[in-house]
This record gives sequence, C-alpha cells and structure tokens, in this order.
Amino acid sequence: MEILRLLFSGFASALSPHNIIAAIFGGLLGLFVGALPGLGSLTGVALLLPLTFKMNPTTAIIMLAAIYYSNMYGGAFSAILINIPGDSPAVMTAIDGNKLTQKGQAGKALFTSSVSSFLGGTIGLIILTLLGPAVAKVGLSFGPAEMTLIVILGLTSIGWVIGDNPIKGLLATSIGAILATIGMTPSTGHARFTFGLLHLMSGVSFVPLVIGMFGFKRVIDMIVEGPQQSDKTERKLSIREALLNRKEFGRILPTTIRSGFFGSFVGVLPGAGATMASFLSYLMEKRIGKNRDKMGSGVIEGVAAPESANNAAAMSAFAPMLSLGIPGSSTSAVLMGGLMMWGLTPGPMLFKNNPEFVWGLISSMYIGNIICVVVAILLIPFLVRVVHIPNSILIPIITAVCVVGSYAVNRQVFDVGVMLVSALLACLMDYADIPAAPLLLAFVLTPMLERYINAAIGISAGSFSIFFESVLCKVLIVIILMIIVIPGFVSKFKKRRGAAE
Amino acid sequence: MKRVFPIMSLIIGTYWLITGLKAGVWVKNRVGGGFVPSLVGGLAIIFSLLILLSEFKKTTVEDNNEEKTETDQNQKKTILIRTLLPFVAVILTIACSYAVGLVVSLGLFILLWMLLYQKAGVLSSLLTAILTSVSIYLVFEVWLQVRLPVGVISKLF
Repeated sequence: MEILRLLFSGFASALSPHNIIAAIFGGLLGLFVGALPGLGSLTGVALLLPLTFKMNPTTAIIMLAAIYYSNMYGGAFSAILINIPGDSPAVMTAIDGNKLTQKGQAGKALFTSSVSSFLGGTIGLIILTLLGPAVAKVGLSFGPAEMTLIVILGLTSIGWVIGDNPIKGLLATSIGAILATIGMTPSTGHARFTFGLLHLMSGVSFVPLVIGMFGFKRVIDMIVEGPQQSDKTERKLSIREALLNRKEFGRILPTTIRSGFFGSFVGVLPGAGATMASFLSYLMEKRIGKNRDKMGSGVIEGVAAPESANNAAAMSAFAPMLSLGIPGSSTSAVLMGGLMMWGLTPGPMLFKNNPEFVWGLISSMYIGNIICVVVAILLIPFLVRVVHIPNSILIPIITAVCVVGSYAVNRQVFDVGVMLVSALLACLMDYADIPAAPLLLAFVLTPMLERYINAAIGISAGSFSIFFESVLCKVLIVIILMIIVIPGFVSKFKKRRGAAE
Repeated sequence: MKRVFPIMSLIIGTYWLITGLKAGVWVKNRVGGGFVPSLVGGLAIIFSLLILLSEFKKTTVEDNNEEKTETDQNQKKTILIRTLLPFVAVILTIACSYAVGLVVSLGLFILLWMLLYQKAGVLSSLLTAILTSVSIYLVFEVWLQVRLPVGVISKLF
C-alpha cells in the first residue's frame, strides 16, 4: 500500500503540464532518433543532456528517460521497414520483421512491435515499481562468474537457434567473436589485431557493422533482384488493416508476457542491457515458443519477443541504477551521470531522501509508455508508405542514410569503410548460406565475455574453480551442456526415425 | 563463391590462433590478452573445415550431375556486377566528398544513380537528390550537430 501511495504522489508530480510536455517531447525525439540508423539511445541521451542543465531534475530525467525507452520503439521501425536496425536491441526484430514486410505485412509487423513494446515496457515498469530495490539485489547476486556463464549460454545458443545448419551458425558466431577482439585488450590495454591502424585501437564500431550487414546488404539485394522484384507489398494501409485479429493477438500474448518478464530480469543484470535481453528472449522463443519452427521466416512472434524484452529491460534497468547506483546499461550510465550533475546521489538513500523525484520518474514512465504506443500506432500508415516508395528512389536514399549513419557514430570516414567491408562480408556469407545475425550477436557478447572472465579469474586468483562454486553457476553449466548436447541427440533421433519409416 | 567465406574464415582463424598464442593465453595467474582470440580462432578453424568438407562432398556430387550452361555463367556475371556497383558508387562518393563535402557529394550520387542507373526522369531525380541532401543536412548538421565533412571547395567560400 505504501508503494501505491508513493506511486500516486508520483503521478501528481508527473502529470504537471511541464512534465507531460517533457515526456511527450522526449518520447517523440526517442522514436525519431531510434529510427535513424547510427543514432541509438546513448547518442540521443548524450546529445540532449547539456540541454537539461538548467531544468528541474525531475523534468530533466523524465525527458531523458522518455528518450531512452521510446528509442526501443523507434529502433524497430527501420529494422522492420528497410532491414536497418535503428540500434543494437532491434537487430533481432529485423530478422522476422523485415521478412513480414517482404510478405506485404509491414503494418502487422509494426503494430505487433508497438503493442509488444508497450506490454513489455509495462511489465518492466510494474516490476520496477513493486520490486525495484529487491530485484536490483537479485541482479547483484550475479557476480562475474555467473555473468561469464550467462554470456557463454547466449553464445552457445546463437549458432543452434538461428539458421538451419548449426555449424554455419557457429562459424558466424566465431567470426563475430574474432571481430570483437580487435582493439585494446580489456585487461592490459594493449593493442591487438589493429594492423597499425589507429582507428582500430578502440575496436570495430558496432553501428557501421550493423548498417553494412543489414542496411547496405539490403541495398545490394534490391539491386541484384532488379525492378521486377520490388513491388511485393500492400498498396494502401489504414490502422484498422494493421490491427491484429483475435487469433494473432492470442499468438503474441504469451510470447510478449514471457519475454517481458525475462527482459525485466536481464535488464537488472549489471552490464547486460536491452540488447542482450532481446537476443536471449528471441533465442528462448525459438526454443519454447508454440510457433518456434517458423521463427526466422517472418512470423509475428519473432517481432513480439525481442520488442517486449528490450522495452522491459530498458524499464527495469532503472532498478539497479536508482536503488543501488549501478547502471544496467551504457545509456543508464549516462542517465546516472545526469543525476549526479543535478546534485542527486543514486543509491539506497535516493528512495528515502528524494521520493518525489524517484516516484515522479517512475510514474512519468507509465504515462510516457502510453504516449509512445499511441504515437507509434498512429504513425503506422505513414511509416508503411516507406515500403511503397519505388526501389529506384529507395536505393539511393538508403545508401545515403547508410553512409551518413556510419559516419555519424564516431564522425570518421573510416567507419564508412567498415560499413562497406561488413556489407561485403554479409554478401560472402549469403553466398555460403551462413546467417549474419549470429555474427552480430557474438560481436556484442564477446567483449562482455572477456570482461567477465578477467574479473572472475582475477577474484579467484587464477583458479577456474570459481565457475563451479555457486548454485547459480552449477545450474547455468547444466543448461549450457543441455543446449550443446540435446540438439545433436534430437537430430540423430529424427534421422533414425526417418530411416526406420 | 560458396567456399570463399569458409576459406577466408579458415585463414583468419589461423592468424587469430597463432597471434593469440603468441600474445599469451595465461599471464601471471590471469587471463592473457591472447586467451579469447586464440579460443575463437581455434573454433573458427574447426567450423570452417567442417563446412568446407561438407561443401566439397556436395559439389563433387553436383559436378557429376549438372552441366554449366552459358546462361548460368552470364547470370552469375550480372549478379557479380550488380553486387559490386553500389560499392564502387559509395567509394566514388566518399572520394568526391573530399572535394565538395559529404552532403553535396551524396546529392550528386543520388542524382547520377537515378539518372544513369535507374533511368529515372530528370525532375524526380533532381527533387529526390535535393530533398534528401537538405534533410540530411538539417537532421545531422543543424539539429544533431554532427559535423559532416565539408570538402576543399566548400572551404574556399
């Protein structure tokens, strides 16, 4: 009851006109920045942080938080429509989302994405409201050893889950991990695999890599397909046509709820963030979902799972930040910097000393989430027009966006080169029927793996026994072994049964 | 073409494994900078070899069954040219940006691509080029304050 009282007092603060305007402005900006390739939530929040210097802290954080979570909505737009994920959490959305667009169901994909984002975000918010401090403590029980195993779990699952041939998926995973090791070592800071190029000292940038492998690759596909292949999509679309029918809604609801809870959990893990949440929830859906066999071929569940999870994670990432002063992702680290800038100290005392601030923020997130879903759904008919633009116009425009998007991340032409090389790599992978998504996922997860292994081995003074000590570690090891061994047995069993029949 | 990526992975994996081992897998009771690179390099070697072996088996069977026609060869050539064309276009655009700046260079790319490759009308090509360039300038340069390269000629004015 105390929580409800605080929440309602928070609503009184959040519903003040200037806070509502801040939430609307942040929400719209986040949708736009999220949809632009190359500019993720981190860039959006970082760019607008200086504008909030003279604002009231509650209004400022409401605006910045709105940019953060609405970014998750916006990232899906470009992923679904033109196969360019707006930012890393939308990589998984592109797999099924763009296939739905190619099938002429862009409206349904966008609607699924918006509804799942809203439901996932709401689940994350409810968890943040009711269990914020407690959940943050659970997240903290995951030390470097447990986190190492979580990342290994993600890496081992990728290859098996995406694509038809696990070996091909695992090769893509290995190459993604190889690319991620370029740059300075996390332990000693020594340069490795930079080939004398200064630009590679900080590693290969993720955004140009994604733009090259998805966006520019799509341009090449459109050119190769030729004009006769360009017009497969629906001609006119209203919101009503994009709505899901009862059967379709019944299909995505369990997926969305599952992924929402799972994403909320991943969001509170230190350093995991929305990207990992969307990756793992997609993998989970491919394992246990009712429509798992069709995942990857363009089904609404493939959009619902990552979108619900990344929004839930974006919301729940506020739990460790507010209650323990530990950011759950890089964007929440910037937000935490903002809190400090306004003279607030994130941590257990924040809830006690500044309840009007904390509950004002949490309440505003409920309002902001509703604003986002309404705006996102209203935008669908306009967004769908993008797929009706003839290829002759779309090809040069996407190419220009790919070039500027790659350049904008670090403001260097070198990244345009990275984008081109990535696209070439994606073409070669396509010729060999090797899926590109595992490469990107491994690229994101490997630096985490290296960081956590270093920390775990450092704590245990060079002993690997730390990975077998806690109950959590043992459970995770059993799950990893099951993931590696079971698919092999299943395929052998299927082959034998097929031969017998 | 199917074998290019696995062969490339094999070479890269071998380089990563050797360099990783040289950098040190285990240094003073800690994980060395070469631990993860040598591990993933080794895995890349194993997986690319497995794929190459299965591809080799498949191709031997297919080679015995199929004859390569001239149409197939021409089709492959067209695909290759169409694949390489956007790469060449972007490289030329970037080279041009050193002279006239990125925004103008991208505008020129859109205009020439639509006119020469897509055979679109002059008016629609011009309109698309101008609108896209102005949008890019307003969003990135003005609003988000991303300084786009201006080029030598622009610096003169």
